[in-house]
Amino acid sequence: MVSLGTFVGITVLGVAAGLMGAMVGLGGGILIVPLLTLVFHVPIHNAIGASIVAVIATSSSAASTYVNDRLANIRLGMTLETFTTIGAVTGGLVAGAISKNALNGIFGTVMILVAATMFRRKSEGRIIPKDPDDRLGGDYYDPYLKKEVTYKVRNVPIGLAASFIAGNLSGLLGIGGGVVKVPAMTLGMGVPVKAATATSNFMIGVTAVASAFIYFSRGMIDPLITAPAAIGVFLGARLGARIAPGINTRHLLSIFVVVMVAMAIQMILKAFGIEVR
Amino acid sequence: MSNENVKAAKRPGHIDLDHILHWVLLIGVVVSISVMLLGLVLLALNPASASHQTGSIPQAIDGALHGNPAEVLTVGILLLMATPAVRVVTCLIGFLAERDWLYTFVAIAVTLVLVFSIFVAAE
Repeated sequence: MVSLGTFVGITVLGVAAGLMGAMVGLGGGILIVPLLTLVFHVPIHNAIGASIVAVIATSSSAASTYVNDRLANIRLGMTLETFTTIGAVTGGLVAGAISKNALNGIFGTVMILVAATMFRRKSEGRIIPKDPDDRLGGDYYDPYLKKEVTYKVRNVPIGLAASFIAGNLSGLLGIGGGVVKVPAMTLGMGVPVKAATATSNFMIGVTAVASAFIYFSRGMIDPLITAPAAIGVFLGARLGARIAPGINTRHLLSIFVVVMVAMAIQMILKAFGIEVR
Repeated sequence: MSNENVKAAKRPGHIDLDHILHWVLLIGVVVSISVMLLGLVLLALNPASASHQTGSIPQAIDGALHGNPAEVLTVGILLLMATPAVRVVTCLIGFLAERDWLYTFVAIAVTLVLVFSIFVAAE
């Protein structure tokens, strides 16, 4: 039984995860899972279940803005979702079949890999304007460049492969997988960074839903843990998106990576039965 | 709105799918978070009443209608889970209305994977 105090605590933690995530450009999932397991001692399967639902809230909320700005490429998103969803179902089934310890270890390892990519600057690939009749390509107005940007989408198979991996990460670990999809879209497929980030976000909700029912029917979505996490991450992400442009994230990023690596190490230790408190 | 967009909007059979999706996603999130907040208020008023059974949708709805806080939270969670699924079906209908057969087919494929996931979950 979760007490009201724990409920409020998880909400506050969710706000922090959402806020931090939005400021350094990560979804809340990679933070909410370790915080729930390490701080509140929630079993990792339930923490991942909570994260999957929280990620649906932030993705849907951000995507509603992105589609309005025409930044999210709906046809590209839908195409890649065929593979993210298949990957997510697979990941969800695998998560249900493996032990807590193994899952803690995998999560910690992936966290370190994600932390390692965080200092890399997101670079644009080669952008080719699309043909007028091309439906998969996209166009949007860039307020900084003050012009219409159009792009052709190339190398769809690269995107599909990355999407399957991202889907796996979502179903298995409850994280969005933007870390895999965004570089595949920008460097591999010629999608501008802004459109790739928006499209990745657009896909995360559907991807998460593909494994959410598996978690739900196995009793791994505890409403008393999931609801406060979802509300918290949602509020934190909205707040973060609003204040992030005015903050120098470079400094923040260093602190953030240190915290992430520390949590990752604790997760890995936990996998071997060592609890650090 | 730029010239390009105006041109696109005038294409025969074109509907403003972006705008429709904006509202579908926004309404889904606002409604589900509101239901969760309602559950939170009920929980705060009567913390002892938060018993629930996990994993059954009909049970969650029944419990929620009887004012069980945990089940109200679960219904909020289920509404949130339904939001992206409704978004996919909306895209499907939009592509169909535009007679864009290729992407209608793609949207059907995604819908089928989601339906499949529910069957897998029920195993």
